[in-house]
Amino acid sequence: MSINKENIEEFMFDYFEGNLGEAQKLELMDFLHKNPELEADFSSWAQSYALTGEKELDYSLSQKLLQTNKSSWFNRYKITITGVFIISIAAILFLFLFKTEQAELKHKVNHYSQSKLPAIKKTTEHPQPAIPEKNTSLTKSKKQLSITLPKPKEEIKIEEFPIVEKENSREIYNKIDSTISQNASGSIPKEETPIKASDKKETQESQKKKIKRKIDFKPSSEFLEINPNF
Amino acid sequence: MTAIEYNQAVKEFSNRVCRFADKLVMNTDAAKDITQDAFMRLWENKDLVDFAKARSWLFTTAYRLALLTIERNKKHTGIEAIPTRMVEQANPDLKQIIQDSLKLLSDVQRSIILLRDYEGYNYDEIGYMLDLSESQVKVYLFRARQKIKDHIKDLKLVL
Repeated sequence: MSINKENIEEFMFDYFEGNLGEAQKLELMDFLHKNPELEADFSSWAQSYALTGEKELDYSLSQKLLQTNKSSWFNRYKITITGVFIISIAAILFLFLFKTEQAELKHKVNHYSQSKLPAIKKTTEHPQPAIPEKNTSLTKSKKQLSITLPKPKEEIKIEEFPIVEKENSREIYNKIDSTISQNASGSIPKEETPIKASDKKETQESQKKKIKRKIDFKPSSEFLEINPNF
Repeated sequence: MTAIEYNQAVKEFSNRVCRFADKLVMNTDAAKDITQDAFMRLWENKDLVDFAKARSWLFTTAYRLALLTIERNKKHTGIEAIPTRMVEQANPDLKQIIQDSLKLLSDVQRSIILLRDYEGYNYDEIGYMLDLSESQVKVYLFRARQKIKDHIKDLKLVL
């Protein structure tokens, strides 16, 4: 495209914008030399670029706009930090409460076993059922509880055994008393058949001997061992 | 963008953005407000903005905020600012004449002149920031330069 008076301003603009090649620049300079009335326009175009590369002014905004690293770091991670803090506190509290509860349970189990277990061991010695061992402390405490629990039937048998003996001895004693009182009162039944005088004497003597034999009744040594106050 | 990169952007670009806004809205206090607003938005979106694009992001934001401020001022005054000071001055400085002549330009033309002359952006970058095509930027820039040139030429004739 050749330069003319209609498009000269576009060429001047492109010249100062740096859009022209070397050939176009030379062409523009030739045209201006041939048309000196356009030099005023050319200088005005040049002056319109006076602001290019002007030094910047200081508006003193830097200090107001700067962000400190500390606050930015905290703002970035504050949600994470708060979450971790809350979770750790909750975990510590849970562990503390669980341990105290476990310790109290152990203490109760030990106290109960120490107070009750020796007495039971003296009376009964039962083989314990095989319990599969687990690592959890809760199963251990259950195991201890199962050991300490007494079996009421067998314990009662052992404790009631002397009572039964006492009842038997009491019955025997009452029987003896009743026979002695019956003999003393003469309430022994008589035979209805007619008895002769000689027979009467013999029967009386024999009865007296029986009474004497009964009076001379002595309890066995085993009975006396069980009932020393008899 | 990290906080360190943000602070680096503040040190490098805060005065430039403020000057750009100042030339657009013709009010230094309003320009400071625009700059602070732009950097506040950059801080809020620092995870989304790459440091390499922070400069253009800041100028784009400042340009949009400046347009809003200009629209607000027009509604309040109802009259566009007219550069009368230049004519009253007997022997004005050339840079001052050009800065005053910026008031004759439209907002888009003025923005393009400021981004081109002060910041040295090319047509493509200016088009990206102002949402214009490269050819549109060139046309706007040509018309803006022509206005400034005519104004300087007229002033020379008057003097």
